[in-house]
Amino acid sequence: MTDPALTITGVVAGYGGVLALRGVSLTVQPGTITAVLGANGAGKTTLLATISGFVRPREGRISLDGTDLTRRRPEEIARAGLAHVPEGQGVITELTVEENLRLGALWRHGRASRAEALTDAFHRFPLLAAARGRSAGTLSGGERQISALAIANQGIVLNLGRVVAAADAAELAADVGLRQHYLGF
Amino acid sequence: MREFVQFTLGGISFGMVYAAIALSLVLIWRGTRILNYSQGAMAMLTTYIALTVINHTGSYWAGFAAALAAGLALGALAERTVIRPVENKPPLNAVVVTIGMLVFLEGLAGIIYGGQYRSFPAAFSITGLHAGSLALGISLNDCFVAGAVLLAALGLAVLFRYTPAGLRLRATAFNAYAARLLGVRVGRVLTLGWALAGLIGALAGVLVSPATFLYPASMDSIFVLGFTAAVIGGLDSPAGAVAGGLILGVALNYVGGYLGSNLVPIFGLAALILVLMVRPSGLFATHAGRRV
Repeated sequence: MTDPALTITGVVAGYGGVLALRGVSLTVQPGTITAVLGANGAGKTTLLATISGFVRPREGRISLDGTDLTRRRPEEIARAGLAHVPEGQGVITELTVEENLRLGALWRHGRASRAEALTDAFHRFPLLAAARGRSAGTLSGGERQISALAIANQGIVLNLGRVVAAADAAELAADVGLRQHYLGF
Repeated sequence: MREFVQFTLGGISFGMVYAAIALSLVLIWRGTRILNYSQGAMAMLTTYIALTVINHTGSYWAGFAAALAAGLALGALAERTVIRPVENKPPLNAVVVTIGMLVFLEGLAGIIYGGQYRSFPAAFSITGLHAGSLALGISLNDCFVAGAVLLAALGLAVLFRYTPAGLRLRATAFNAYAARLLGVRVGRVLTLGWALAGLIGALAGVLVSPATFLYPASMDSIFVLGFTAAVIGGLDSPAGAVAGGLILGVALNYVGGYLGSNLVPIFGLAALILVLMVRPSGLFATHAGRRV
């Protein structure tokens, strides 16, 4: 029996005096897709923000393959393999598409393998190859989402801000060639 | 006409010093949205360190290098210790902290070195240069000042455009949230930004101190004019900082030359007020404006 990839136990989190999450527990198994569904204001975005490190949980534990990620900085959590692609936020619009990819590749690869990683990304996403020199701000929302996915897809777990429809999600997953698992909604 | 040429060339040297301070301020502003009121005081302290090294070793360049190294260290130290806690707080907190640093550093310098005016050596000759029989109004040292700041600005531009560290700096300045998502260690990047600002500020200090003499408050007016230059150029724009410095330096030299040197501080302040009233985002800014 392999360990679950992402484990969230008893997480309590909120903003100031308002608690959005009161003891949320969740396990994402390897090789699966988990969707979190809820009404507006139910706490979905807060949950993702807490997992990614932008909101500090007051109680509870978040761990990835046994590594404790609770209360770590967002960039450290990203480097541990938990990529977060929030809606409309995954890329830096003032930089070019290529610069965004290069930025994402900086910590993953030594200087030698960076160029190769970039070529690989452009190969899998011809859309990005075509736009590589353009400012990321010129991409449409969906294209930005794909860019962010391309950057993040080497992560072990992908935390998506929003997926429009189930059919799209399956296509997206197939496109990205995710080998492991992602948590999204 | 001859006077005009002399005043124009003569204004470039000080203008480049204002540009250097403006560049430091822009670096920090872009990265952390903080205006570092102690930038001049930090430059003053590193110049004192340079003077100590020069007096001990007899070598100007050893002192020069020591000032630059001290600038890097001081900038990094300031960010890690007193600035980090106020980076995500209301802007007023950072204002109070940087002014506090200004007071602290000037007091510290007074305690260690005393308040008397000290002379600081120039790197090269300060006698006026001539083109044939025409006095140009600048010296070899002035050329060095302009060249050094220009080189520093170009070095920064290369760093920003072509290196991974520069990519991280730009990413963090544009969108720290997205940078974190991409795995950028934003804290370390900000420390680097402050260190570089400290370096450029230290350069400004050693370049201008031969003319102003060195004492705890010697960088105060230079800071104000550097800040003015940054505002003229637009606080977001490094190119604007350099342009703003040159414009201000030359303009003030015209004032000093044609109208009298005691009017220069007034005109400097007037320039600041004018820009803030008419075009607060500066001549070269890309965004609408900001509050301070």
